[in-house]
Amino acid sequence: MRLFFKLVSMVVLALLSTSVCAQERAAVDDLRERGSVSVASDSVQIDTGESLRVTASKRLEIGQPPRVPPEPNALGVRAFGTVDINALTAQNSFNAVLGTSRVTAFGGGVDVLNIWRGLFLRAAVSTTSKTGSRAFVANGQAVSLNIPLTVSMTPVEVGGGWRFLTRTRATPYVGGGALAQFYSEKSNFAGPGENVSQTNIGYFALGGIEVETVRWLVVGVEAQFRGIPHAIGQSGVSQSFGETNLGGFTTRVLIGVKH
Amino acid sequence: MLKGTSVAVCLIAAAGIVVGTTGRRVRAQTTERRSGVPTARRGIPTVVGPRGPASVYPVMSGARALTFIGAAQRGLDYVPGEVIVKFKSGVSVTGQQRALRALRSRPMVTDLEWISGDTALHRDELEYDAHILSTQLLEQPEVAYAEPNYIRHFQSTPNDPGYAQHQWNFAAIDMPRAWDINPGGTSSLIVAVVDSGITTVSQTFSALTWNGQSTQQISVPFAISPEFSASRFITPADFATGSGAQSIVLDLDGHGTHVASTIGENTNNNIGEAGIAYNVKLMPVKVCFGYWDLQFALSAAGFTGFVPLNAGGCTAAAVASGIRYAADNGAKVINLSLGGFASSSIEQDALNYAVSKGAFVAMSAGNCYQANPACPPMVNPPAYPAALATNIDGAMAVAAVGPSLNHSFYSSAGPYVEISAPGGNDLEGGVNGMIWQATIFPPDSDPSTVIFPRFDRYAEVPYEGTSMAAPHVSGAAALIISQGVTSPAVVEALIKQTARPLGTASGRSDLYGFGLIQPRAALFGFGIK
Repeated sequence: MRLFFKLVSMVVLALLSTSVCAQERAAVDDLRERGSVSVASDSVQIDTGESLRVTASKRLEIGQPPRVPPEPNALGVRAFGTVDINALTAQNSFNAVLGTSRVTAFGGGVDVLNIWRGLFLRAAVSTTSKTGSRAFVANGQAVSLNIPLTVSMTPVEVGGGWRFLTRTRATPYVGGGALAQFYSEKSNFAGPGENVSQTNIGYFALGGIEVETVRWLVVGVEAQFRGIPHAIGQSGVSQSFGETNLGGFTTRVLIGVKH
Repeated sequence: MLKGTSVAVCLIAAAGIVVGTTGRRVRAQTTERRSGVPTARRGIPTVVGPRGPASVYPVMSGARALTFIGAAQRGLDYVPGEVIVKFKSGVSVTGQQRALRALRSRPMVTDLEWISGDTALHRDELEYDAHILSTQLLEQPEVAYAEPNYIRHFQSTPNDPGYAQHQWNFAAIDMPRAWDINPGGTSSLIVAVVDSGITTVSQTFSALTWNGQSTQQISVPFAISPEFSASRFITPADFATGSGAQSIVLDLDGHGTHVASTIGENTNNNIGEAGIAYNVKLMPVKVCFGYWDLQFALSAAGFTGFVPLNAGGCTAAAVASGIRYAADNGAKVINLSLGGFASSSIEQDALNYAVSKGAFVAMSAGNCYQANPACPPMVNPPAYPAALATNIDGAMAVAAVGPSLNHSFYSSAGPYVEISAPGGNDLEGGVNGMIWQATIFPPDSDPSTVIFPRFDRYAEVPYEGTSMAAPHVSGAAALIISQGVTSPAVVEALIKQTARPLGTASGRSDLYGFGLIQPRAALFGFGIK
């Protein structure tokens, strides 16, 4: 048992040291620029009277530019572009028409950071468009009718969340909000009123992690669950399949700048 | 025996003259003379021995023709002395022979006319009551089923003269927009018209016929309809007067040609009217014989006299053979505008076989909604084979509506009706309320007025009946299949789901089935929402 606790303690210390190391490194760099720091093999001495024991000081890279540590309470902005892989809830309906229930969307958005501590607000938009074929469902099986049909979806997300500020480059966050999805279906040979154009209201919940690569550039991955109930299912193949939700699970890769 | 009230009107456009005939049944009861030539007293013709050279057409034997005449005169719905028997699978020839010993005539297995697999037709020379024959065979353990060789009839007839050409029927089912999506179907698709045939050659044949005083050899000219071209015909067959695949088929009635014209007469050719699937190949499968088929056959066999005007029809054996032939030779749509009032297992087997081979079948639902001399005493009996469609995914029973899209007065109703299509209704605007298509010029071959017929002239002629409704569904099915749908069951489901409900806000009714067929909606299909 003692050995177990010892092992756990070592792992925790190692993680903490990695975190502290980054902060100290920035401070040391700052002082070093002012010529008031000396680096020994295993410690840093600062002539202001402060003395820090830096257990990981050997990993310092002296040539790295100085980094200003973020101020947790300073209002910030993150603007980003996104690539989404949407796995749609209405699998059968989209499979019948598009041949797949996974669609790729491109978009962008902006987060307002640190409104209060880790609280942030988000506005984002993405869009996807894919062409398939009108279909008919008989006994649960979809049959293509070879009439081109283009489905477009443009969800606009408005929401917020909480960023878990850490001393690392990685910042996890969670959130949620409402979305308005502009949805359209356009078919060859469609007569008046036969194309679909509508706006659906739904919600989303998200979780992700952001990593700073350089001072201003961030990349991240995010998972979203979107619910857009009662958007389909009154007619079309979605009625045959009894599918009513236009939402789904979205895996998002984002890249952006943060200020 | 012809069913329902129907009209045949021919417009001689150039002269602006309207020529027509009244219903055949009425004329048959009142006319004793034809074209000024005295006729023999009607009845079963008497044998006077062979006369003159054999005609190229028809092929049917005189004895067999006489059998049909006898059936017509006795009002039988089966061919006297003919029974269809299906032996159980695996029964040996010895077993089959044992079963046949139950019949008084004790026929040999080798004397049977085999139709398919274990199914054969037996012609009994001792017992004319086919119900007795079938009962005797049914009692044998080797027999799966036995039934009379029922006679089917066309479910439309020519009627009174008219004066205009109208295809309200195509507008009613939104055909122009359907053609926007699929203009006329694909030329590789085959639609079989199992009916009285479609003339596939332009040629003159010699034939013997009765002129009222003697048997006379005449020249009978035939021509392909100007609304078709020979290249559109494929693998014709004749099970009515021949024994299957033929190099030529001749329509001596006009019914088959009218039906085929609805399915796909040439369109956008500045001639006549339009057809629905005007690019598809047509397979003429003759299973019905009309007045002239019988008349020529009898005269060639040496019989004298005229054939009764109500003689003719289509035997269940021929219908079943025609269905199987069509399916075996690549037809993906089969139209059956014919019917009777007794269920037939051989037809059911053939329908199941055709659907299993990927062929969609449209059948006329019958014309006996109201009391009619051509119908049984009971009102609105189920019509077969249409009534079999309920249990076959991929085969549909088609009822008729008129221009107002209301139920046509004659169109049989019942739980077996699955879909409605324009079949015409002369009670709504006279001939303008009927279905106009190209067929042989009726005054050229109307047996109530003509003794030397010709079949080489065509006109736009109005007919009405569920016979006219079924080809609308066949044509629509041809377009749907051309669009890429291959399963007959899916075609049926698509037609049902896209139908316009009639009579009820939604769902089906006995009068209309699932409603009025909407080919455009079927072709357009569905999006996600």
